[in-house]
Amino acid sequence: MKVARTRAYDKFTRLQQPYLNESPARRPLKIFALDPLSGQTAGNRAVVDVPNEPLAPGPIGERIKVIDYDGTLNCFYAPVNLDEPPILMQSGLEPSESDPRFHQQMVYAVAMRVLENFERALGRNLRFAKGRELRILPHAFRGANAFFDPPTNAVMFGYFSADEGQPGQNLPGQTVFSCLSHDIVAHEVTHAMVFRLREHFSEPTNPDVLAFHEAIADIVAIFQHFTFADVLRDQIQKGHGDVRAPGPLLELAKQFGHGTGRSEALRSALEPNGPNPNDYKTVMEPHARGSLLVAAVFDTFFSAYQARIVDIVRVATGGTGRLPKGDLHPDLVGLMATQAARAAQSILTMCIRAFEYLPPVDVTYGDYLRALVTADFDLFPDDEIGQRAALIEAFRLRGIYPSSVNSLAEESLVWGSARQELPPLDRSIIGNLMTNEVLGPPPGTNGNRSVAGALAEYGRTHADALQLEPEREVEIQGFHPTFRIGANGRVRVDIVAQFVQERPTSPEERAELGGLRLRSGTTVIFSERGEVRYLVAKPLPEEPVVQRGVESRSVKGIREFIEQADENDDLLLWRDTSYLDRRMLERANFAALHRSLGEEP
Amino acid sequence: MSSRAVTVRMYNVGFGDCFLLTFPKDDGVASVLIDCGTHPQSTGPRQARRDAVPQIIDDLKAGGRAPRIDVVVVTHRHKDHVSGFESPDWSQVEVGEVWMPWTENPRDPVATGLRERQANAATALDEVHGLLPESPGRALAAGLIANSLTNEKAMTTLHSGFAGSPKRRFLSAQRDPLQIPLLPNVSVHVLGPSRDEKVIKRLEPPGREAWLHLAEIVRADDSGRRPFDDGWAKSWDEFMTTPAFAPLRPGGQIVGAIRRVGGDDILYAAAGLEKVLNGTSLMLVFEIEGILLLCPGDAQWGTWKSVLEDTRARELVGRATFYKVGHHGSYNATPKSFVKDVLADSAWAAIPVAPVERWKKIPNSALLAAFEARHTWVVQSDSPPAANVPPNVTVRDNVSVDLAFPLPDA
Repeated sequence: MKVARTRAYDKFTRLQQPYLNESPARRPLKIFALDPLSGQTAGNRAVVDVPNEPLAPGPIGERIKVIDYDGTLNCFYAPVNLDEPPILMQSGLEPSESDPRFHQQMVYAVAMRVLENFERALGRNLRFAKGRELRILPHAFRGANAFFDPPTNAVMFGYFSADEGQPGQNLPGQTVFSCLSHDIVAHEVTHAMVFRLREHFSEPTNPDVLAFHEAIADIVAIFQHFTFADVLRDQIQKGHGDVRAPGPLLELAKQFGHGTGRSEALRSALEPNGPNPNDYKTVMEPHARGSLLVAAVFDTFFSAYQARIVDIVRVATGGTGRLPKGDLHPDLVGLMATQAARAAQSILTMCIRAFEYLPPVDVTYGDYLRALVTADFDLFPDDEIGQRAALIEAFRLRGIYPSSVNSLAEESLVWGSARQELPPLDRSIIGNLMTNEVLGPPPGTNGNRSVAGALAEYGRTHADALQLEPEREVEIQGFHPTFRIGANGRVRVDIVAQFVQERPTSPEERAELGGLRLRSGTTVIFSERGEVRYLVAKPLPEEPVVQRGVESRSVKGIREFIEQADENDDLLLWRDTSYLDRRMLERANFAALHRSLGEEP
Repeated sequence: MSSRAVTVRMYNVGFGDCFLLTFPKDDGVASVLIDCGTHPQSTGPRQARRDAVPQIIDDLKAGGRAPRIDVVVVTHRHKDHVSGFESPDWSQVEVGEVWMPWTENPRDPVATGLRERQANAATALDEVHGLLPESPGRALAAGLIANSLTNEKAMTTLHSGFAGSPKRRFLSAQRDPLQIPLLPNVSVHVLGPSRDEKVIKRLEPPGREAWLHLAEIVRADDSGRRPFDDGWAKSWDEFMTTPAFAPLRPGGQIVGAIRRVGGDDILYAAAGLEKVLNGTSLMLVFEIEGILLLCPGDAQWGTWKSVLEDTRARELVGRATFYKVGHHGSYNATPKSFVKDVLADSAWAAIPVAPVERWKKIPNSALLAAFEARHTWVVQSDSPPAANVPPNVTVRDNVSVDLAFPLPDA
């Protein structure tokens, strides 16, 4: 006889110990660690766990909503209910190309991991405005592409039939789903995260802005590979300890590449011909330019990994440090894999943490290098394994120099502050912000709106010191406290605020600028006592100002960049006015696929 | 004025190219016809096949002569450069030689492969285009695809037509100028297209991945092409009216964003193909006694770049007396640095063009301003000046414009 599940039953069986009533912290879900094509690769069918949250069919969580609408066929596919017991019991649906519900599960799981990586590194929760949750459409259209669409905060994935003539390792005509590629999902969702953190980085005001977007998206996708233990161990064994050996760890979107007739993965973390300092001056296509930054970061990772395994290898080889020929001992592989995974996580965290130290507008690779160095220096003043030195060197090898420093020494790269000129933030602002963050806004108050108002007032009062224009409105683009553990295990609390100004432009001027707005902005990092710790300013004078032999950004510079982008745009001639007036914004659509046009081979 | 002169006659063919050059020789003149075609979307009263071809033949017959052209040059096989050669009237014109870019050589396997791939891409795109639903991208792509189709009929005239069994030459960039008995005292510098491997790579049609799926979209009703078994799918109406699915309804903005995807892809592919064929353009400089006529067809940045980076070639184009403005005056066929830093002051230039409503960027206003800054005298085929005509220029209503460049008397 069956015991009916009644209220009495529930009450009786639910023990009083609170820990049993807590829902589990993590939810295990199955995914393809790489993509369906890599079926034979060890560890490709992986179980990952993501933070647990209540889910409705879709799945729909608090911040991620999977909508399986197919715009080409104008139909919907059945939404998965991840809380169904049979699915829960087996850690999610088995990987399957033919069941759309598995696809929904996989995009949800990968997106959650990206989100979690960002939240952990930043030390805060990333929320989306109400009704602006991240929408994911795993089968949005037929086409060899996938993209993030900022206006709808949606990530759209395409599916297509593998090239009949050159299917690579796919079957000719086989359906290739971009949403089943871990890398494409991680890449596109990262675009959404970057957009969430720095909305104005989708406004291409210099050649680095869009490339930076692409680079971060590839960096997250590649470093997430290192969390797949079986893939990692297999590659370390095959590469004889060298994680740079070509293979699935460093390749991006293999099936997609093959399916579109490339006979290779879409992109790789390695430069085919090594670093070339000229590339930064000549490579302009955002994905290719992004690869320069990816390679620099990967170099840094490789140095860190080497530094971490040197003692293990010494122990394993009786002090010689030379690994014997043949297979490595599985325990040694395990130890190396652990170190590789830690190094990867540490670099990924560093890459994301640097966001707090970026200007609100017009990012350059040089800014990013300074942000990386500052962020890392700020938490860990000692560069124990030489990670920062390796980072600076990797950028130098690729010809990437910040425009505003006179040496690549660490102390000149760390952002400065304007402590003398800027008074500390009022204690009440900090108090309100902290209360709202930790306890939630007290009833009857308008939440953080008064904090934003007070910060805007601070910006207006001190416009000059913030390198903003005194007569103009100051908008607070974002502000938040961060909680991090620094050296000596101390909790570090900082307050990050972004001040943005827009110079008014006439409709004609805006059409000339391809829809771009002329913005300047300053990011300020305050200590918990309200003192200015770092100041990252991007003023926007009309003409460039020469400072220490380097020109600053300027309206003139933006115009020149637009002109250059126009010259490289094969389609411009054939476009209509509605496109021309918005062309700079249209160029910022984050498609995974290289447009094969307009690139110099 | 001297009795000996080099002349450039630009026929008005709407949006398209058609030039007749003459060079003095002992017994009269040697003549070179460069291109004769009108774009399918051209507006304006004059067209190549209907108007310009009979006009050219009439002009050749002037004074009771038998119609003859010493050299016919086709820069590349776009309709706006060749459509006039579809006319059967060419069979009565005697031609000495026909010059085409090396990519048209039927006996060159590399060229044949390229041509086949380009032609296949054009045909496939045209087919897909016809089936796609209406969209802004599709409308913009239409003219580009029509322009790139193989133009077989015109090419047949060029390869095997004309009276007088002309010799065919397939030219590529070469170091020494071409000198032929039919054009005495004229040196023809061939600056493009190159046979350099890198350049050849740029002549490949756009990757199939950029548009292949479009063919599948139009075949989507074929259930074999659906991504999942039908049991997994619900129709729009059924899903949108089921209350339980309300939280999963996509907003109109999302649906709109998806709709825009394919429309752009066809435009990308069509524009890519257009550029590839432009890239095969013959770029020639005719030189006689210090007068240089620069005729680049619709050469693209690749060809220009190698010219501007080569000291000799750069010096040569810098001495141009006359410049046939590439690609109807669009920004992508005349490097800014050429006008700004290389072209001599007070040169003469001609833009063969008729405004097409949707191509507002042709001719390019910045390019026109750059010419002005160098005091270049510029004439547009569709709007020759009515007043203040320089003495060496002759305007024949809306039919043609002649520019004469005098040579010292022999």
